[in-house]
Amino acid sequence: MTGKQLIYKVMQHEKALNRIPWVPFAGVHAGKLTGYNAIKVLTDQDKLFESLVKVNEIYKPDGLPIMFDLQIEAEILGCELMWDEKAPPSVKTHPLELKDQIPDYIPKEQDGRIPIALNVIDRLRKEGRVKDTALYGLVCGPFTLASHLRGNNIFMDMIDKPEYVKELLDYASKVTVQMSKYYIQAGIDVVAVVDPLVSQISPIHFNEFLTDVFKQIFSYIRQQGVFSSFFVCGNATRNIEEMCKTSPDCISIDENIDMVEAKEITDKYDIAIGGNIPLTSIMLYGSQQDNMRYTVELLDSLSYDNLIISPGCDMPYDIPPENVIGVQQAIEDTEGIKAMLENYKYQDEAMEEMEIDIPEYERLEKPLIEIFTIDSATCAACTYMVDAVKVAKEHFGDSIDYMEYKATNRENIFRAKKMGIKNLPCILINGELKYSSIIPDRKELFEEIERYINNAK
Amino acid sequence: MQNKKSIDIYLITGFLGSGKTTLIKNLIKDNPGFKVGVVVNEFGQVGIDGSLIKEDGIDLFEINNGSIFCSCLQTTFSKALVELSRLSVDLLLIESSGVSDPSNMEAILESIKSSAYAELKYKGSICLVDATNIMKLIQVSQAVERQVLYGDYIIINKTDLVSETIVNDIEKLIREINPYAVTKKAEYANVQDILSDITFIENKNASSKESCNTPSSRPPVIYIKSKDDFDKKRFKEFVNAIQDKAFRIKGFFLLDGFWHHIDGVNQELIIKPVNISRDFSELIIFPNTDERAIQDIQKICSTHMPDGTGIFIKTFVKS
Repeated sequence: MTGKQLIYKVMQHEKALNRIPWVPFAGVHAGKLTGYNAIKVLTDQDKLFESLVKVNEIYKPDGLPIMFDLQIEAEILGCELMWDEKAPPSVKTHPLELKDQIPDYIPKEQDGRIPIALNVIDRLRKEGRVKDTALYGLVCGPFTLASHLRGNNIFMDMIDKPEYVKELLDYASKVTVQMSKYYIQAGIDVVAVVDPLVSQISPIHFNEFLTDVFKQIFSYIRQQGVFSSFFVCGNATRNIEEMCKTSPDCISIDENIDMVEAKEITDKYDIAIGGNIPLTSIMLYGSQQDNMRYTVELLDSLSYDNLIISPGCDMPYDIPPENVIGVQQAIEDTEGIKAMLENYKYQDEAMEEMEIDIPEYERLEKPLIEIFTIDSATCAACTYMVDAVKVAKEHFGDSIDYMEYKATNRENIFRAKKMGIKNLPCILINGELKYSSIIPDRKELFEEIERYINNAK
Repeated sequence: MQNKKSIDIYLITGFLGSGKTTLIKNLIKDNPGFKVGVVVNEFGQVGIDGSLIKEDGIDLFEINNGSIFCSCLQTTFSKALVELSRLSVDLLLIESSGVSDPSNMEAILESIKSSAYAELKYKGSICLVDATNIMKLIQVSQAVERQVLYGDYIIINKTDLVSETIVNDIEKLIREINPYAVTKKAEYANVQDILSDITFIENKNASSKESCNTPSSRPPVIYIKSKDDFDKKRFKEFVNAIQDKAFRIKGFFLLDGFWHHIDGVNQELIIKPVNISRDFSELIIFPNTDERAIQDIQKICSTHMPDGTGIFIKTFVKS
């Protein structure tokens, strides 16, 4: 079953699937894999395309968001943006801050950065390697869009000018629907309606202002024959039930919500739920093992039906790719990773007893390439690492040697530890760490190997 | 290793227009002996692109990208804090966004402890409410309600613009929402001696039953300290058992070998793993103000917590 089929099944609430889908939210972080900053990734379609292909290759997602940027619509509608090299842009000015007006302009297909997203969807659909991944089109939710336009006044407006707010939300939802339409026509599989601000209001106000608006949006998406996901950010615990009542196919939550409790609610409505690996404490600052362990624990605490594992929200730019690989692997091979973590746990005592021979690199006659992997049989990034070296081996033949050490074997974990290796997969040449997580391209790797061959002569 | 200097951190919360900037200016004016750093973060209202500027001898740092407590932006915020800890400031005032959630603050500080250049001591959150609109705003904004819930020191500002009856109603409402906070009334955010009065309960050594410099009206809290690794399922059972008897529960606990941050009020309690390392687990429980709550919680503590876990009850006495 392809990742795309799996996402479809979860969105259709089929039970007892053979694995749990994984949707990493690589927005600006996609650029980390290709060396482009956030601005490049969000404004240059070639760079975005290249980065997403890389995400698909390394993180082996079942679902892939196209552009995690909630400011695309706002920018077209007159909000000034402030750009950042490592984060999505933020809205700087609110055109309706001082005037109680309702705009009537609906973004057109060729406006602003919409063509970037649409062209990239088209290219990804045609790109062989990505065709089996469900594509997520992200649209800005009506409440967040309304606040982009109106600013923080919108909260007081809800009390003082409720009719105005309703009209503004009605307009914003038309924009959301139109954007959904563009994405659907371009061929996405899931429309993610991202409305982080929903976490800021009470269930009573959600019900008063947003329930009907969202119902209409999700109903529209359903009629078009694609799936919908309701993304929220922040502590929306109290609104989960209200969100369920608007009938999306899936709800996606971040780390501010207890996923176990939230899933009890979404299960009651037979809605899928996605979440919620903590972005900063675990994904950014944690080690690869922390990430594996967190994921394993999260999976252990949840029932597997109607479940998607994702980061809590758009991943910070600088998350080490090996951490994402760790999460992916923990989902792909939960039991294997559990065993591996046990091995890590006991490594200090057991290492004393186990003899590990580290080659005397300086005495080697030819360069030795060592690949440390989680397991190249199951981990996509590991497979590519090994494949890259195999290609080199074919090219250089007898002038190099190579070895793969899989972490599924306890001895290999101790070897990695002894050599000071913290993250997998990685490539070492003659004991020197050369590539960690990101697979070198052919040219890069060949040049490096040639350097070693020449040095050995 | 060189001893790290320490920086006291105060979080200043309140909706847009509640008087946060005025309060910051007052605090700087009233504490001439301290070198003050200010972090400004207004949702969607940004001037300078994350850069550090000097203004009137104050280190001012602006963070863009909206609410610093949205998980998407915690990274920006925690990185900024690490950078700010390089500065030679004595205290750092963090003006948090109009729509931000203060409950993550302690976890953020704990997670950057090892990378920060100074010891960052969280002293508590000062919450400003605008007397002219709080009664309305609190109905619509969960964020404002949370700011009051998590506030250690609450200032009812702009009392000159409303009648005394309204001020009394606001005071009553705030007491109901958060009986633990010190509440003051003010015009132009003018309150004396805030920093010395702030009643945040520092996570001090549990054995020291010292009294804090706080009003006697503040109810006792229950403090749990443990060196053991605790079973996560059992801990959850324990927390569930006390939850409806407690106004707020917060702390850090080692559960199944993983450090967790626990923070919540009423039905909203989050137990989430954090990438930190501490010497011992600590939990502070703020019981409901009814008479039986403390006894009930104590009883549950003694049946659920293993022998040897330190359980202390701290009472606060006005000095």
